[in-house]
Amino acid sequence: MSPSSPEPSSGAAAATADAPPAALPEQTVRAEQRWTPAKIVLWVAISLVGALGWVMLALARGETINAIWFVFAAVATYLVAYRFYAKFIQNRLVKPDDTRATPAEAEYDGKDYVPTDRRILFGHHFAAIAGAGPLVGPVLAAQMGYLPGTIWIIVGVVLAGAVQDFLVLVISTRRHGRSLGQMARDELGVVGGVAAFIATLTIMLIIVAILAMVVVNSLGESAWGVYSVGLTIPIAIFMGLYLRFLRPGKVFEVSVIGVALLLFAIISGRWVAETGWGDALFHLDRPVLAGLIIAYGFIAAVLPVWVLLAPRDYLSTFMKIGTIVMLAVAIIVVRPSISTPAVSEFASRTDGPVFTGGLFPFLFVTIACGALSGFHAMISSGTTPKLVEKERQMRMIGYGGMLMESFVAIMALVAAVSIDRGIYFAMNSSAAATGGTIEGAAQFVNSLGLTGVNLDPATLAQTAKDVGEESIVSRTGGAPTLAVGLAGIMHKLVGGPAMMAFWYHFAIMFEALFILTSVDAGTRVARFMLADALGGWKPRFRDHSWRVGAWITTAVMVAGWGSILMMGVLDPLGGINTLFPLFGIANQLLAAVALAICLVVFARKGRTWSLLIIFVPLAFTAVVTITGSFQKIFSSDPGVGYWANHIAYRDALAAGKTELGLAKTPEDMHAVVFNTAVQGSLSILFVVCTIIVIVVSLWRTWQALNGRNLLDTEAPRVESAYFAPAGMVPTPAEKELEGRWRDHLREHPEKDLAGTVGH
Amino acid sequence: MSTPVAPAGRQAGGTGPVPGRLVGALRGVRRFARGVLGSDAYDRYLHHHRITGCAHAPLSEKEFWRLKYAEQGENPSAGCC
Repeated sequence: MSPSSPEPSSGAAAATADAPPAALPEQTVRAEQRWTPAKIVLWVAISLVGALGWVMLALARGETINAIWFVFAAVATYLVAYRFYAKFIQNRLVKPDDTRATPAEAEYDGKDYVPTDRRILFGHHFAAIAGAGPLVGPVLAAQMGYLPGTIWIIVGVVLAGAVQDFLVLVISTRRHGRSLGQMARDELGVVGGVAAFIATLTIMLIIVAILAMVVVNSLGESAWGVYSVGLTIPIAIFMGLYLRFLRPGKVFEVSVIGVALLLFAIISGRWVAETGWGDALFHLDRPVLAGLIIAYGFIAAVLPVWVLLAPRDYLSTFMKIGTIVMLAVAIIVVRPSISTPAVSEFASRTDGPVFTGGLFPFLFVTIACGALSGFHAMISSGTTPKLVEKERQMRMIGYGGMLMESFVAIMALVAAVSIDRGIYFAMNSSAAATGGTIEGAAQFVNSLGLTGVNLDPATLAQTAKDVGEESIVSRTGGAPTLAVGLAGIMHKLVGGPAMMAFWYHFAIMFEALFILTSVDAGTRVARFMLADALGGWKPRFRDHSWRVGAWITTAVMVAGWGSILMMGVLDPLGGINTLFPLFGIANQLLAAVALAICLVVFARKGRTWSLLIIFVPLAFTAVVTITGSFQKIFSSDPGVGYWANHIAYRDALAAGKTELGLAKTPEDMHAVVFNTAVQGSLSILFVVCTIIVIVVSLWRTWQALNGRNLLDTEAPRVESAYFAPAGMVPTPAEKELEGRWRDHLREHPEKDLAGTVGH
Repeated sequence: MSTPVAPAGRQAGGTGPVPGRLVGALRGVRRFARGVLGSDAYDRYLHHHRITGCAHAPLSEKEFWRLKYAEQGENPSAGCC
């Protein structure tokens, strides 16, 4: 092959005459992709490994199954999807043009817009999208057995989640890196734009509230946890001061110091929790903790970024990537055997103790971020499009980044199903069901009638002792279950049984760390959204340096998520099991909004049949979330429907009853009446906003297919004078062209935007 | 244009001795970690300043980071769930 054809493919007239082309000629790209016998053998082998993994997961009916099959099925499916489906999307729908400059090149400013090495950007993007969501959702979904969750996490990411992340990145990159909200306004007009705005803002609040509840549930009555997570605040402030006054810019150095201090905080937690004063000081009830987190959320969000948010973000990034790599290694080396059934009794019922509702639609919303996450659309339309070097790299960053996130969800699922099923249900059933005692929990779990489950209270006591906690009963929210699973796997790799308590608290700290960062960042984003909306009424709110305005908007937003958090913590029915579906629905409704916007954009670009790539996941997620919302609103089963439950409790109170179901006092009953009304109203708000967005976008798409209303919102084309390979590993032709660019830039250092040649 | 993260490159080269390659690999890891954390922001700024030929003197490292955090406070971006 001759990659060095001097003629650029589509007449890319770079800034100077002697510059090499900014893209490989199309025929070279095609020649490099030609099938060779070796490639065919390789892909057949990958497919066979994946098929074997799936057969073992789906059909093997032994007592146990090895966790390695999850890894095989997932990784092989990801590789095939990335190589074939993502490339198909790229060729048919996206049609990237590497002779066109990305915002990073065209609007290069050395700060927000900088061409960034694709491998670094991949890490950066992944760290931004990965959080507590993919870790918590699969744990709760394990109620239905491992197979339904595994299928949705893997198939969902391939056909929906990764497609959304990829396409939002594509459309934002072609529009100066505009945000999802701005694109909604541009593409859908006022009504669709306003609906998208309300949906985004309320969804943000519900996400912050429920993540905060996960932290509260994992730290409640755990002196060790409260102490070590609490210490992250002074550690972050120390890092902030260090960067501000001692050694500005030494981010890597201070992060290493910070991580060392974090490890010390975890280790010393045991000593502190064992002392009388430590226990007295840090052993806190959930409502108290919720109050502290609300106060923290307000203070953190009004403080300057350098004090808490920025250093905390460095710590989370460090811990996130480190722990995920470590867990992957541990699962591959330890290969735990799993005794949870593929499909459990609860898959065909609607009364599971972990979350209520049937497999369809509630499994799909519970898994949330691991398979499809609307929240990612905010990242894909925020920082990443301003840093990407070449349009062809977006497949790797957008689609590939989301595949990684899905793998994190698979690992969380493996960790959750690797623990004993009896312990799993004892931990994830609400305190109202278990009574909060080991005897009550054992009795409750045994009464569920699960095959092969016979829980002994002593097992629960022993597990709690192993992980250094007083009790593990009714530790709902997913994080503690994941921590027990992770401790069970990690101690076999490092430290033995004596280290289980360390690994448990390591996992708790790890999740709390980035949830608290999300609480802070989410409150800030919501505050700015509110300030911009209020600015239409009182322009002074748009002035972000107006402190009073900042405090008012922050207080309103904190009150918004704080009240939902408090409501969940005090909920007599358990909180997580009623609120988590709302979180999942909200997140996937946002995904539907993002996909709907992509649909309009590509319809206006003149695509026709290839729109099915977007339409199919959009239709699926719309059906799932709208069905879920309708069941939550209209179901007559009080276990599922918010309003049915509301009416049942209201009528019971009117009839003079003093207890009903899990609520044992009239106060509890009043709380249920109030909470279900709030939850029911939020469900209605979300679904109405989303239906508006979907209807508007389908109408615009229909118009575009008929050649009407063809708005072109793309930024004007700028010719690229920059080259970088498309994938993780450069092909021979890309290497050759990279070499020519390196020689060229040595002569023209002023054109070396990424600054990697001169050094 | 972009130097590979892993060794390769000009200095480390295929024929280089093992320690040279090791140094190259470590340098790649450092560059990756700095890039993902955003620790290289000042270097990027200085580079931009150099190649765009601004007449005024660049900000000091301390001033640069103060300004950067102030701007970050004005334009928050959410991490994820």
